Amino acid sequence: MEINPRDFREQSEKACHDATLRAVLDHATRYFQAKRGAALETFADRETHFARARAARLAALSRLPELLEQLEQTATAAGTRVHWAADAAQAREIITGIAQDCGAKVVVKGKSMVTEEIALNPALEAAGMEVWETDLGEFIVQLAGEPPSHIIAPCIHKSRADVAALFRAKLGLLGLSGLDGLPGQENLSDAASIPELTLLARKALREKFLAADLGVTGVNIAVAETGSVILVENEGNIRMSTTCPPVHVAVMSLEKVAATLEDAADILRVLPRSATGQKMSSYVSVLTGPRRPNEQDGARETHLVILDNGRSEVLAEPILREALLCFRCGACLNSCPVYQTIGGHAYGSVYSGPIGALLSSLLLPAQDTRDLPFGCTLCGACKRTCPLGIDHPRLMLRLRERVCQSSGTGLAGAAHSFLALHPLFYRLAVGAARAVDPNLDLLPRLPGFPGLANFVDTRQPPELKKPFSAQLLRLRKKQARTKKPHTNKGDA
Amino acid sequence: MRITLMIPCLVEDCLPEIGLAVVSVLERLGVGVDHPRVQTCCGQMAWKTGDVARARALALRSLELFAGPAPVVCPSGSCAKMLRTYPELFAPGTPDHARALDLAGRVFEFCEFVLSLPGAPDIGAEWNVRAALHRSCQMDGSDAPQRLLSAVRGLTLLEPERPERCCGFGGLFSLQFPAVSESLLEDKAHELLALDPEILVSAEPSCLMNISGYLARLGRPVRPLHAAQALDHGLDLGLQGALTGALTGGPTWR
Amino acid sequence: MSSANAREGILATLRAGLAAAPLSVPAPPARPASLSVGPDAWALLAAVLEPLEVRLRLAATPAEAARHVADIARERGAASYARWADLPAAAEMDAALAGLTRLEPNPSGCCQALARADLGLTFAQAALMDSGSLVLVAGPQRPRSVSLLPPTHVCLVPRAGLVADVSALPELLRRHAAASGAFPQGLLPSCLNLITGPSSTADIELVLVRGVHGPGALDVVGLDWDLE
Ligand code: SF4
Repeated sequence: MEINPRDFREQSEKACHDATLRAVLDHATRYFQAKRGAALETFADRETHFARARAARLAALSRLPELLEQLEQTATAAGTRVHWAADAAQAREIITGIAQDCGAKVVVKGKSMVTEEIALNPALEAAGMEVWETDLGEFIVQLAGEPPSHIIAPCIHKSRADVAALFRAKLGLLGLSGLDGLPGQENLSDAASIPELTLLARKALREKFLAADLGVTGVNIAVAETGSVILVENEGNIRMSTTCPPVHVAVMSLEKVAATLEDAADILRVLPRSATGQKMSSYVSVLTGPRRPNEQDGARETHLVILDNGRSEVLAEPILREALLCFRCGACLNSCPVYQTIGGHAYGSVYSGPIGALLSSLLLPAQDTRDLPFGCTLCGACKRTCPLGIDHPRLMLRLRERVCQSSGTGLAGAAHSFLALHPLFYRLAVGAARAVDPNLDLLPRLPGFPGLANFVDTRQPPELKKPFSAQLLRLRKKQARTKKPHTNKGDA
Repeated sequence: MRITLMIPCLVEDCLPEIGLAVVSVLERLGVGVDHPRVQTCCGQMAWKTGDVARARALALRSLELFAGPAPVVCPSGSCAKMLRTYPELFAPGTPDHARALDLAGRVFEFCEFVLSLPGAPDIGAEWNVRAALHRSCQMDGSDAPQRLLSAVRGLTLLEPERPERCCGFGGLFSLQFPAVSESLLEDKAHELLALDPEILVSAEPSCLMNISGYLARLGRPVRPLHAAQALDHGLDLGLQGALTGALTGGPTWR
Repeated sequence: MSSANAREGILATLRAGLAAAPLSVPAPPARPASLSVGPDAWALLAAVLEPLEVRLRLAATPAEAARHVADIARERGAASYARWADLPAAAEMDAALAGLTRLEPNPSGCCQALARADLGLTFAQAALMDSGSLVLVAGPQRPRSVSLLPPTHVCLVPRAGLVADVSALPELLRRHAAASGAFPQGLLPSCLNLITGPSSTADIELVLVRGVHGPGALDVVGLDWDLE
């Protein structure tokens, strides 16, 4: 799957014309917003909890280097092997190395954006391993050969009939034996119920969990004072991935650290509510090192990969580093009118929606992401939604500034600013326009704004009228002549 | 009391009737209005395209034009917000930064300002009309237009299903992402039309232009009015309006 | 570049960034007061569990608790079970479940063995009234997979374990680190799980399905007496 945000403009324009996609997105984003809204309504002292979660995240960023060193030390003391990866290639190399060292043939993965970010699956597959995404939505998009479309719901763009067709076509190829007692996937009908489809996936993946040599997951929170990793989920696949295979690799982007268990608890109070409207996700695991002597399950060997991949550079940027506060609840995506309209794929990267446009711009090559911060109306719905108080529009503007510094605003922008700085020329220019083209018929042909034609096509443009300042002057003169000053009771 | 009027470029050249309504309402409420005549652009467009240097140059002009101490009133949420953003354009500790801070503390969006006057929100306006309100995301969540309009006697204030949702304009956005912009606008227009309003009211001229332009193309013209125009007309019909007379001498939206 | 070089490079960049633009953190507001755990604690817990389709049954004695567990096994159609070794009222439980096969976890293939069990029986160290979360601490007698692999999970919750919310978690974890003589001083247990309702997904068409990878059914038995 080719992932690149370079085509963002083209892709988002295309997505608008996909009626099915828009209907699905509309349904999904409303569903998530309604669930979240209901949960927040009954969340006592909500703003205080939000502020504490933000403070916990800020505290982590403010002491990031010390906390990562402390985490390394405490995790090592707990028996976890800690690795540092400067970029995606290094992370892939480290994880592939671990997999090869333990002779892994089958790898199961819990849902994680960061392993998607480093494109881990192709690397493990190239090393001859079978890799399974085990979150139901991720499993479905993996079978379909597509990237996930949403942080929280990777396959919201697929209907049950799509899934049935996919299982029918693909499950048989997996060499699974555990499908007896179910309608065989070859004659699975398009009318198969969602619980039936889910059960089929459970059986298929159960077999893989039990056969797996290695489990790979992301990290929601890593606790510096205890060396623990905290994983949050609803399905149980992450618990399976850390409980059954003998080796567990947790991959964290370096900002995911929290100083203390108290900070982690403050984050856990908010994250599930903001993500899915749950008071707590079905499963939260706090894992500290490998299984201890005499324990009967859990990974015998645990690894923690600390990934940078461009983040450390962002810490020097006072405005932009706010993006590192994000704990990926996905709420800003659902609140964003642009995301509601175009969905996740158009962004061409693992991260989509408002926070995705910011993260991709910060982490990916500048020449690929220059359109991302402009695909935003600055309406601020994201900012109002974010429990951590991230001011996405402000960050978008800072990114636009960066783009502008590297390539300028274009002729039209420069001309407008010149005129605005020189009022006499400005008035002359507008006056000339009014004389020549009062109804702005020529607007679509103005150089520098190729979108104008479309704009005028769908909206009747305003006319140029006798300017306000001239009209006011005339009225003032009339007032003076009639000597009827404006008064009201307040003046009496 | 006297205020300095800040007129957005869109209002100056395309929607001057909004400016006249602002003056009319304010004067009828006993507020004197000064209008510096050489206004052009507050720098919002440069700022939003990332051209900070030009935005700063334009901000310097505004700092001259709107030197204190009178309050500055502007019939646009987004322009008022731009003026409040000026401090970010100058290094803290510099004289320009101090001037920008001073200005930012004196800027009012029109509805916010009217709401701060004695007697508000009921300013004596009256109008039997079904008004659909577009809140505009550029108002930064302010509920001043809702509060003023709900106090107009006889006025039925209608809000669309997703009142806070963006109309898709976004300035440059509507040119760079025309299909996305149009999709958002389409959603907004349909949610507004579902209210079956007689007039469409907003405190943001650019949103008003965007939505009403689309409704006109749809052949569903609903009279678009800035909140100031709605209040001005309400004052004409109300008791107080009859007593004091308006600057504009009649509805400015005709 | 090796992992060691990466470490130095990353830490140096982070330090330089913070030195160039120091980040000060305003003091957060005080944590709001938690729910108080009073005589209505069981009722509160039951009310939070209900929308999660989890039924709370209260037992005043070990015998009653065992009867509840047997009822649940019957209702869920379980033919086999696995349990944590050091459960309260373990003997009563085994007696009440005598008609079922008890599967023993074995260290070489614990998951493989437990995957065949119809019901897993565990014990929560605590339950969070705010969210209905059960706090399970794994250990040598307490495999993690008992609460994960069988389609039905039954969890015993002691009266003394009722706490307000997740803010109690740090204290609970520390107590466990210190109390477990087997672990090096201060080291947390290898695995603590918060379990809140059955395993669930809404990935296909946003339709909620219980029991995707973990148990589709969760039952709670409240032990309403003083365990020593
Ligand atoms: S930016 Fe805020 S709302 Fe968006 S995913 Fe991150 S934490 Fe959630």
